[in-house]
Amino acid sequence: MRISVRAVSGHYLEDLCIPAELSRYLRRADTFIQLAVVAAFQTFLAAGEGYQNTHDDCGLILGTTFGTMETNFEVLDQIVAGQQASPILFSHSVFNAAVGYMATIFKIRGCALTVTDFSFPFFRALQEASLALQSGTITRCLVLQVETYSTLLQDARKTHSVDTHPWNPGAVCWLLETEREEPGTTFHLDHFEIDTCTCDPLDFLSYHETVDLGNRVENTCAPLAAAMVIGDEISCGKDRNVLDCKVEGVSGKVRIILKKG
Amino acid sequence: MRDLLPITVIGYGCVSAAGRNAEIASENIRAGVAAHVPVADGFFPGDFTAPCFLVRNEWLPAISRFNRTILLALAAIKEALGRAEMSVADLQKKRVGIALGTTVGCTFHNEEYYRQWKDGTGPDSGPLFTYLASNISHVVQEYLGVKGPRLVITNACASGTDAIGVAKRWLEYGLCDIAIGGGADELSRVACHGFKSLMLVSREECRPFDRDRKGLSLGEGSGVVLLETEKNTLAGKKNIYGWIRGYGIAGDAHHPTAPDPEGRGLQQALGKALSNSGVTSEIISMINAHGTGTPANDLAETNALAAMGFDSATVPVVSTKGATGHTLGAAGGLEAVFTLMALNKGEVTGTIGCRNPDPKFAFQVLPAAQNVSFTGRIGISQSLAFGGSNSALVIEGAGV
Repeated sequence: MRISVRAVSGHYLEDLCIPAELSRYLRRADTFIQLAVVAAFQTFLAAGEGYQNTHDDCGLILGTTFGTMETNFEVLDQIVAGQQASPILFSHSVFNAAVGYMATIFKIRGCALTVTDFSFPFFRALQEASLALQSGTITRCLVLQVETYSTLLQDARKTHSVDTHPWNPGAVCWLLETEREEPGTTFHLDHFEIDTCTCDPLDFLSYHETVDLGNRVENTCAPLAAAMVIGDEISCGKDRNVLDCKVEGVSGKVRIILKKG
Repeated sequence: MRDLLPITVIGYGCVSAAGRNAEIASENIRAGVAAHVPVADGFFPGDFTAPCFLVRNEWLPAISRFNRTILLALAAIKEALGRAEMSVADLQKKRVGIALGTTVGCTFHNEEYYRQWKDGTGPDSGPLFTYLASNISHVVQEYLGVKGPRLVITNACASGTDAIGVAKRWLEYGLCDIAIGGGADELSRVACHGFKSLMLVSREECRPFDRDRKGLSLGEGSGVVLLETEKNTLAGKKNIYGWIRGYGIAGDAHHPTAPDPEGRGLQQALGKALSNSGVTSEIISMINAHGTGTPANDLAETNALAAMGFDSATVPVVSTKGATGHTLGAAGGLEAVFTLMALNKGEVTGTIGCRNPDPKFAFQVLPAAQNVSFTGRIGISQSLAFGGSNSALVIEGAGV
């Protein structure tokens, strides 16, 4: 069974624009949820689909490095101050809140998973999506990485990281599906491997990675960057027939080969 | 789709307020023990006090560099390895997958650090470093010295069930030789405040499916299963305690926090788990429900079971949360272990705390102080989560 990358989107918080049709759903949502929902919306649009179709056979797997950290701290603020926690804030601080919003808004009834890891969260989510598609329980799957970090984390980086350039919150989303289009029009996943190794936890505050795209190498230093770079290459590299991506960081390496035809 | 390999349970372990290991917990559930203690002391806001289900410190390994959630997981994993008669050195010869669910275990909630950072007094970095070194599956992988796929599933209260489903799939697709699946969570002040704010915490004992149920009681614990392909288990002449026959997951697509009142997502998850297992609902001998004791959860679950055509006269349905409390990310792991043990014993114990099953339910569960024996060996353990995610495992006991 071949699994194709049907559509890709990604944006940073500074470019986040909530479409009018989503505003009523996202009125109370935190930034993490907004980033996730808008990324999924844009991915459906990029695939040429309306967002309000019912997606019984679609799954949803979201990977994150730090989850809803800022909202967690907002809840903690209330607790530390001896106040009652806000039920809305607490609900949004649960790591799979964004997946719940997406499932509700886009009527996604397949699997809905959130996975959390300091290394390669997007690629771990991609691996699970690939297995879920191969199992035949779903025929399509949105795979996301969403990061909002937090002011506390950004401050900690100033103290403990060589690179102190602030991390940009954002979201990346791919729509995978079991191949239905004519071979040659979209990339399909040809090879995938994740190899992790021991590292110093402090390195997660620097997050240095190299992303080798075959025709160029980018040095990145943010948890979202590798998924964003590869997503951009898929969107822009329409003339490429093979995309051999190697991501290498302090906690290991990932290799993904995408092919057309 | 391809024919999938049978996945065997070669070990299991758990720790919870019900007992320091699976055997003791099973005996205590059978005896109707609800070992909760009143908790206030800042865990809940104001003068609110509620029963909570705590694990005794002496039941956990004394490893100061790990947080409590990791210690809970290590206690359960140690028991599972012992039951499988496997040493860590044995594991290190294999590709080992680690899939663990948690909620509290992946968050940074150190209040002292947070206060000092807010005050601008330059907090001691220790807690931050500990957080960065505390991804539960990563820690377990490094502690055991093994290589293989790993994942932390943060799917709220269904995390443990999903983790076992993920571990099963890794084995089916050859990503590893052995997999540890389950969940762990410690009692957290933030979770206590949060669930209280949602008006889901009962001030009295938790009474799943009871007409007078007032909400859930929080708890802590860990439950894990050690899985392998049947082919490898037979080749290694290991004991088989059972099989994870099927896994299903589906979303309600109804509301970001509340379950669909008809349990539509749960019905779909159950259907997928049964389909994945290759058995029909008539074969099911018992069901370990999520059964939190909240009005909305218990209604959704019973509606779903009735709609799926299960018959309460022939399929006993219970919740074990009356004995463990709601252990959040650990719940699915603990309940999978309890389900397997009940299937192996051929007997299930009624829901602790449920004295008067709610007559309004479309499906009647087995109340407290009633035991039912059965001859079948296949049952279901199911979980519901915030976000409308529903998961189910079809488990077969080996009769040992």
